[in-house]
Amino acid sequence: MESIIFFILAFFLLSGAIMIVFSKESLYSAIGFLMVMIAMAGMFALLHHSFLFLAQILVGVGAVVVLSIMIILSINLKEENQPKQNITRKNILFTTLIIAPIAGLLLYAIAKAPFAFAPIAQHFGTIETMGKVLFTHWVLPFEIVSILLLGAMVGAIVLSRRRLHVES
Amino acid sequence: MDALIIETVVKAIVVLLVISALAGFGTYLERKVLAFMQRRLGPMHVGPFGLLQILADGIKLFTKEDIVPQHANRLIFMVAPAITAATAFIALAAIPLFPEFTIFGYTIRPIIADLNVGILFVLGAMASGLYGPLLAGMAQANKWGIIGSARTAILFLSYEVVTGLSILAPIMIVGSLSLIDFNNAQAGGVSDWMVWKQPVAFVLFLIAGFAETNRTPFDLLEHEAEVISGYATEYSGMRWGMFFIGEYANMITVAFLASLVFFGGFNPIGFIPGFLAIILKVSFFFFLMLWVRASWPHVRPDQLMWLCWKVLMPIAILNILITGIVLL
Amino acid sequence: MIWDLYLVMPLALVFIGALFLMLFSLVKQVELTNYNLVTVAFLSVSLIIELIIFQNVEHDYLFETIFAKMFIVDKLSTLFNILFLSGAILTLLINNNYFKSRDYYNGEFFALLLFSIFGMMMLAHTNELITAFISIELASITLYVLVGYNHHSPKSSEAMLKYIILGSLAGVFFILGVALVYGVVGSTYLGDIYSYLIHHQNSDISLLVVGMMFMMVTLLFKIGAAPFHSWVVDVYIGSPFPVTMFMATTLKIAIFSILLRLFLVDFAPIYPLILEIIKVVAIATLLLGSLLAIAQTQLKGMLAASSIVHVGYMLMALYAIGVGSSFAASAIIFYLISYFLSALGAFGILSFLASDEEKRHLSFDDFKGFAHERPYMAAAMTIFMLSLAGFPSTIGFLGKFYIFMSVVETGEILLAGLGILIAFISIYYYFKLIALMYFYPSPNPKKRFPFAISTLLIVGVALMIVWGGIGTGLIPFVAGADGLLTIASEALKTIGK
Repeated sequence: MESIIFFILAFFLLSGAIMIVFSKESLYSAIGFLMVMIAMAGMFALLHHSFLFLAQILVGVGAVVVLSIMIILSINLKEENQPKQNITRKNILFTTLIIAPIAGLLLYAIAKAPFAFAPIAQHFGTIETMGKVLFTHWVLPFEIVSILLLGAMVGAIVLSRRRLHVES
Repeated sequence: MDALIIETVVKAIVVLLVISALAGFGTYLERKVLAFMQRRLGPMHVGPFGLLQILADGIKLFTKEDIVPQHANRLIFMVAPAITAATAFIALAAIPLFPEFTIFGYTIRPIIADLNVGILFVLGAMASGLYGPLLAGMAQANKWGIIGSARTAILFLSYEVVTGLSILAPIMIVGSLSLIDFNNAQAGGVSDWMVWKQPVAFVLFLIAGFAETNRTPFDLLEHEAEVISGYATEYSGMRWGMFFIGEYANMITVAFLASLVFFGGFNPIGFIPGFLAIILKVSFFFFLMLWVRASWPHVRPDQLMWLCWKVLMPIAILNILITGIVLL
Repeated sequence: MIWDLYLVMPLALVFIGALFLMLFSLVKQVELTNYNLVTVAFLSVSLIIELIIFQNVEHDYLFETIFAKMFIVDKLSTLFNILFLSGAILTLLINNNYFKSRDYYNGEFFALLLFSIFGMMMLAHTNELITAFISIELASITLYVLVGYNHHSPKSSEAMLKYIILGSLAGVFFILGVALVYGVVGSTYLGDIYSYLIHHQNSDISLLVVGMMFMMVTLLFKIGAAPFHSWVVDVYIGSPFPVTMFMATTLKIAIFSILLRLFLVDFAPIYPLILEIIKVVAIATLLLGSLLAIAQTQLKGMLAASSIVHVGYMLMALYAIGVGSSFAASAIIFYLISYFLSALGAFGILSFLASDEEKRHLSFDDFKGFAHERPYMAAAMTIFMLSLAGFPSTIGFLGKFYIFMSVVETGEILLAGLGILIAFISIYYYFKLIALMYFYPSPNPKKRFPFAISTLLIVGVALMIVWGGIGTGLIPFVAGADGLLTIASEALKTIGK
C-alpha cells in the first residue's frame, strides 16, 4: 500500500518537474511547480511527518507558488517577449549524455551505501518533537535562518523601493 | 481496517452531500435575511415563502450552457472551480462537527480524519483554496478576471498571516493543535470559553475569517461595481456554481472553527445538548456574516492592505507576545 | 560563560550594527559619510576584540550547552574574522569618495554589507554543515542585492540577475551534498564525519564521496573556479566598485575558510579519492582564467578575470594539501592576504578615479599617459600590478613563492612549472597597463595629489605590499611578512581533530 502511494507521488513529482522545464507557457510551469510541491507534501505525509507535511502545504503551496503565479500574472508575459528556447532532440540527447554518468554514480553510491537506519522514534514528526529539536539542538541554525530572512527582507525592500524611486 | 475505510467513506459522502445542500440553502437564507433587513420580502414566488427558489436556481445552474471563452486556457479554466470546491471540502475533513454519538450500538465520531494537527490542516487546505480564483482569473483571458485574481492572491496571502497568528495565541494556551483538544479544554461551561481569555485573538480571527471567505466588507474579488464579477466574470452554469458552493463551504468552515476554538465547541451548555449547541453557534456566525453584509460598506484595496499589515499584524504579534509572557 | 560572551562579541557587534543601520537609514537627513563612519566604527571595535581574542583563544566550543558544538572558536576562525573585518573596513574607507559621488547609496547598503559580513564570520565559526549552508546563503543573498544596487545601470541589474540565478542554483548543490553525507554518517557535525571515516575504514563510502563532490561544486562556484567561472567577469564588471572589491577579496576568503576546515580535518581521509579532480580544476582554472584575462579590454574585466587565475594558484595549493604538503594550508592563507591587499588597492584606484573625474577610466586606453597626469596614483597602481603579477619585492611574489614551494615539496614539478608559466603569461596583461601609463604622453596637465581618506589608504596599502615583500630583510626585529606565515600555521594547528 505504502509503496503504491509512493510511486504515485513519485510519478506526480517527476512529471511536475518535467512540466516545469519543458512547458512553453510559464503558467504551465508554475502549475508543474505546484504539482511538485503537493507531491512533496504527500511524501512527507507518507513518512508520517505531519509537521513537515503541513509546513509544505502552508508555505510551499499556500505562499511560494502563489507568489510565483502572481509574478507571472503581473509581468504580463507575451510569447514574443520570451526567449526562443529550442528544446530539440539534439539538446535533450546532449543533456542526457552529461547527466547520465552523474545520475548513474549517484544511484550506484546510494545502492552501495551502508545506511544504518534508526527505528522511528515514538513521536516522530509531531509538532512537539519538532519544536523541541528545533529550539534545543538546532537553535543556532534556526536563529541564523531568522537573520537570513531579515537580511533578505531588507534586500527585497531595497530592490523594490528603488524601482518606485526611478518611476517617480 | 476495512471498517475504518468504509466508515470514513460514508462520513465523507454524508458531509459532502449535507454541506452542498446547506450551501444551496445558504443562498436562500442570505437573500431572505438581506431582504428583511432592507424591508423587502425576498424570494416569494416559487413555493411556500419562496423555498423552492433553491430548486429553481439549481435547475437553472445545471442546465445552463457551459461556455468556455475562445482565448481562454481551456484546461485550467475548467479545472479551477473544482479546486475551490474540493479544497473547501478537504478543509472540512479535519473538523469535528459534532460530539460522539452512538447509532445502532456503533459509536461514530463525526470527524473524517482526526489529525493531531487539525487546525493547521484546515488553514493549509483553505490556503490552497486560493488557487481556484487565482487560476480561474488568469485562464479566462479577461481583464476583470485578472484584476480579480490579483486581488484574491494579495488578499488571501495577507490575511492568511493574520489568521495563523491570531489562532496561535489560543494554541499556546491549549498546547495542542488538535481541534478535539480545543473542544475538551473548554468543557467547563460558558465561563471556560476561550473567547474570555483571548478576546483580541477572537476579533482578529473573525476579521481575517471575513476576508478569507470574501465576505463584505472585504469582498473585493467580485465587487460588482468595480470588477464585474472578478475572477468569476466569464464563468457560467455549474462551474460558477462550484465557486459558490466552495465559498459557502468556506463560510461554514470558518464558522465551525470560530465556535470550536473560541466558543466552547460542541460541549453542552446547561440544558442544551452538545450537537444543538454547536449548530446554534455555527448558525449565529453564519447569520453574523449576513448581518455584516447588510450593514457595512466595502473597503478599498489599499485600505484592506493597510488594515492587514499595519494594524492587525502588529496587534496579533503583540497578543502572542503578551500571551507568552503571561503563560511563562 | 563570561568568556563565551566575550568570544561572541565581535559577531554580536556586527549584527547589532546591521540592525542599527537598518533602523538608522530611516532618518533621511543623515549624510552618507556618517553611515560609512558608523559602519566602520562597528567593524573596528569588532576587529579590536578579535585581535585580543586571537592572542588568548585556543580551541573552544561557544555555549556548548546551548549550541551543542556547532559554534567553534579557534585561532583559524579568529584569523579569518580579522581578515573579513579588515577587508570590509578597507573597502568602506577606500570607497568613501565613491559613495559620496553616487546618489543611489543609502543606509541600507551598509546594513546589507554588515549582514553579509555576519554570514561570512558565521561561516568561519561553524562546525556544522547546515549552519555552513545557511551562512553561505546569508553572505550571498545580501551580496546579490548589493550587486544590483546601481539602479541607473541596466548592466548592474543584469549582473544581479545572472548572479542570483546561477548562485542559487549552485547553492542548492551544497545542501544536496549535505543530505548525502548525512545519509552515510548520520550527523552533520564536522568532527563526526572525521570519526566516522576513521572508524569505518572498510565500509563503502562512495555516497560520502559523491556528497563531498556536490559540496565542492558550490564552493568552487562561489570562488569562481573553472568550470564554474563564467559568471565572474560579467558580475564583477556589472557591480558597483565597492561591491566588486568586497566580492573579489572578502567573499573568496570566506569560502576558503570553510574549504580549509573541510579538507584539513574532516575529508582528509578520503581526500586522495578526488585529488585528480582538484588537479584538473586547478589547471583548467589557471588556463581558462588566463585566456579570459588576455581577451579583456576593460580594466575591471581584466582584474575580474585575473582573480580567476589567482583562485587557480590557491587550488594548486589545495591539491598540495591532499598530497601531503606540510605548509600548503598556510601558503593559501598567505596568498589570500597578499591577493586581498593587491586587488583591494587596484580596485580602489579605479573606484577613486570613478568618483574624482568626469572621464570614466574603464578601458586600457583610458590609462594612456596616466603617469604624467597623476604620478603618485600611477606609482601605486604599478605596485599593485607588480604584486598581482608576482614580481619580486612585493608581497604577491612571496605568496606565489610559498604556493610553488608547497607544490614542489610534494614532487609535482610539472604542476609547479605550469603555475610559473601562467605567472609569466599574467605579466603580459598586468604590464600592459604599466606600459600604457608610462610610455604615452598625457593629454591633460599634471594634477595635484588629492589628500583624502581614500587616497591615503591606497598609498598605505601600496606601502604595505612593498613592506610585505622586502621589509623582512631590511628591518630587523620587526615582524615582516614571514610573520604572517607563522601566524597562519599557528592558527591552523588549533583546528581540533
